[in-house]
Amino acid sequence: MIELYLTSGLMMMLAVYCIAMKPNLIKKIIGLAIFTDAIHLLLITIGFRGNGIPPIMTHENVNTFAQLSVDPVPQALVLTSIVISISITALALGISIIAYRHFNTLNTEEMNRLKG
Amino acid sequence: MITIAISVLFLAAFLVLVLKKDMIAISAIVFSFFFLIFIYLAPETMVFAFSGWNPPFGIVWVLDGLGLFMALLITGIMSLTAIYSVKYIKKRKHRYYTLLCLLTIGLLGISLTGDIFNMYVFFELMSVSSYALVAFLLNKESTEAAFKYLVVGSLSSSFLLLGIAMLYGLAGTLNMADLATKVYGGPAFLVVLGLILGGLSLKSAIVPFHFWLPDVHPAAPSPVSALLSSVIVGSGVYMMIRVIFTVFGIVSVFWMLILLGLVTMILGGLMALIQKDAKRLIAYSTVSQIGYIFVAIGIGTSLGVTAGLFHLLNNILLKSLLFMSFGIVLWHTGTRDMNRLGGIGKQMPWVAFCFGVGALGTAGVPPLNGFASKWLIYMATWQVSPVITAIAIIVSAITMAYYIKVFSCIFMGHSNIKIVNKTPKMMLIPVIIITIMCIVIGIFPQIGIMFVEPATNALLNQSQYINAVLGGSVI
Amino acid sequence: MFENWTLFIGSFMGFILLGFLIYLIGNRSFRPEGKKGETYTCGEPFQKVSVTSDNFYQAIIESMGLNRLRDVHTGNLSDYVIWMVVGIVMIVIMVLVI
Repeated sequence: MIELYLTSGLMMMLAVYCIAMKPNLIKKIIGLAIFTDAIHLLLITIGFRGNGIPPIMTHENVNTFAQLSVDPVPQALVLTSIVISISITALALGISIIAYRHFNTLNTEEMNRLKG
Repeated sequence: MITIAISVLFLAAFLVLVLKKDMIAISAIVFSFFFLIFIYLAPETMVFAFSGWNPPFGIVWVLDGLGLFMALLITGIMSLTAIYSVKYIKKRKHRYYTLLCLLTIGLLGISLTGDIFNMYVFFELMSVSSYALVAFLLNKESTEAAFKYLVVGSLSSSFLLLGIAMLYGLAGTLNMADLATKVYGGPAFLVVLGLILGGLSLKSAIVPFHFWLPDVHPAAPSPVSALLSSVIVGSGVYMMIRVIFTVFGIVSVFWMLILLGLVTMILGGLMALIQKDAKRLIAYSTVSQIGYIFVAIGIGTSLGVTAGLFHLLNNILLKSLLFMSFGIVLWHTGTRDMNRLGGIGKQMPWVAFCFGVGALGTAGVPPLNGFASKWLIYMATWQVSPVITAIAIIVSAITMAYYIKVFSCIFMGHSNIKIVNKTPKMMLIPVIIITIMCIVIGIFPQIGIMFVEPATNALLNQSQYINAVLGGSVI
Repeated sequence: MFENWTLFIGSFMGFILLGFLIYLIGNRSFRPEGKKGETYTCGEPFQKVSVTSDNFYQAIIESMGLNRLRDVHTGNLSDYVIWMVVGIVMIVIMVLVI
């Protein structure tokens, strides 16, 4: 359990390093995807219960189900968040295609006409 | 019942692309404005639970004073912008109106919801629509501004999601009223508050996070600039004050807000003196006014919060006025460079008058609305410390200085450019409507304060919110 | 404070109007004599110019060192992301401490 939290924290730090330090635009978008995946891992781990069953209710008693299963709310939050992250990644890749057509480079240090 | 407005907007966003008629979108946004006026006139706080799941377990929408105040302003400005963009946007208009409808849905959802993850989802909807709207013109600067905004915007909303995830782990619920009963001021909750505020500060344009605003404004088309600077930044401020006052109760972050607000005021004002591009200058002016709002709200007393919310109202009106009237100048001349624009005032006297009203209002000159809210801010900060009032007055003088620069560089002097077309009426009417509203609120500020009172009461009474959601009757 | 606001606005507008009336009366009682000469500026014919924004507040900007403030905003995305992360860390620390 604790190793999952540590993995999530490590992934977040690596993703922030990637977004801040790498000048290529595609690498920054990959960093964004890794950061959101780390948060999804954290969310699912929050709802974890040792020796739990998946939160799918078959024909059982509600009380025993509620005491055995893992928490379904973070799983719903993660599903929503995966959809949001996909739409942001798609938009980002679309904008980077158009940026490559205009600037002929994907290096963000050369794409700074707006400054000051 | 509130879902009528949202579902009409969703339907309009889809039908505009299919049927290829813009009137569907404009009429949907105007309909939602009138629908919200109708709901605003209802006397008590309404709580709407989706699918019959009652408040601690399901998603609720709470129509209290603060949410309705923001929602009314948002739909009002969006309908004026939708009318303004009929003649302004020339290419790919149907996709523009779809994005505008989605932006309205996102903003309405943020203002009216009572569940913190629902607020995050609508915040992302609003953000993605605004990334696409900034990149709308698809030329070099728009693309650069859009990917800069996208990368930092999604990084900051990931920090917001991290804060919400940790909050769920600590408290076990996502409903804002239920969280208000379970949150106390321990160190874990303070770290969560810090992460959530840090994630939301980018949309509110506070100082280390203000850099996207001046890059995005020249690149976006003018009606989108008007929306970005007035309503999107306003909803960032709304989310921060909702989290601080309603969810976390009176936790002492007030000195942090006052400090950040002071630095933001000063930096926005100083950077605006240097600019050569008119839209970047007005964008830095927005940063400076947001600093005023945070200083006023950070005071924490009833007078301070009233002053802050009144200044937010005035900022929304004045900034959309400034960007829309500058958009008329840009539509005629095609350039934003203040070295080449000059002497337009003789050829467009009405537009110059409206821009002048906006500039004087933001600088805080008496018969206009900016003076009323700035006077309230001075009175509120005087009770805490006169140093803050002194800094606010000095920044007001700097504001007047750079507005003199903008106005005389664009509208006065000898003109090099000849205006040949006539300004279309659909572009001039929203500008004149907002000018009249600014002058009326300036001469009778009681109207503005009467409009802001329910919002202040709703913000400062956390227990009234909790009782309305968890105890009261649910529709 | 806003009880006698209409009195305040009314007197403000009244004073502006009074000043304008005095200006008009002063203009009427002045009739220049002779023919109108050309404007003379340092020996050259008069040119119509407009203000450029490059040197509008140049002295103030250079004396307060605002050009260095402009150079800090470099325009690189990487610098801005570093500002953002440092800003978030500072906000978390400030919420914990203050």
